[in-house]
Amino acid sequence: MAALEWSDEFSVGIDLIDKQHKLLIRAINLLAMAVEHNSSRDIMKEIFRTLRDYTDTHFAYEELLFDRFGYPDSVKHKLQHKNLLGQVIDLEQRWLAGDAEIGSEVLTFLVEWLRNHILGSDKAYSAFLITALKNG
Amino acid sequence: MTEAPKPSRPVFACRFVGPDDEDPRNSILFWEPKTIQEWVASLNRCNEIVESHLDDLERSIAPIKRL
Ligand SMILES: [Fe+2]
Ligand SMILES: [Fe+2]
Repeated sequence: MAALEWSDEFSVGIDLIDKQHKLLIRAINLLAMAVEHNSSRDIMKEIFRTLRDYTDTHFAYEELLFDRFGYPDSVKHKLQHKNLLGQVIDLEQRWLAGDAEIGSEVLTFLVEWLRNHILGSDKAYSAFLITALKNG
Repeated sequence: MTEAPKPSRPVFACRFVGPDDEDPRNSILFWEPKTIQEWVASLNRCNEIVESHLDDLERSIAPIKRL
C-alpha cells in the first residue's frame, strides 16, 4: 500500500515542480514497498540514497527560481530545506549504523516531512512564482 | 594518439549524473541554468533520469513475473 498518494491539494500550480514532488512521493512509496517485500539491505540503501539525493536536487531547482525572481521568503525557505535535508541524512545515517529500523514510524515521519513542507512552505510561494514565471 | 583529458565539469544540481557522464542529452545538467528555458530543460532531463532510476528500483523490489 502506498504510504502517500498524490492529490491536487499538493499542487503548487507549476507542473515541473509538481512533477518533482510526485517523484519524491514515489521514492517514499518505494521505501514502503521495499519494507513490505522484505527487500535486501542493498535495495533499501539505494532507495534511501535516491530519496536523499533527489531531495537535494529538488531543493536546488526550487532555490534557483527563488534567486532568479527574488522570492521574499527565500532565506527562511532555504533554511527549512537545509534542515529537511539534514533530517533525511540523519535518518539514513542512523539506519546505516543500525540505530533505526525502517518501519511504520520512519515512514510516517517521511510522509509528514514531505507533506508538511509542500502544504506549508511550498504552497506559500505558489502565487508569487506563478506570476513571476508568467511575466518572464 | 592519446586523447586529451576530459575537463572535469561541475554538475549543477542533478545528483544522478556523475562528472564523467558522456551522454550528450545530459550536457545541460553540467551548468547552472541561466534562463527559465534552461531551467525547464535541465529539470525535465533530470526528472527523466530519476524516473527511469525509480522504475529500475521498483523492478528490483518486485520483479515482473514472466510466464
Ligand atoms: Fe518542494
Ligand atoms: Fe521547498
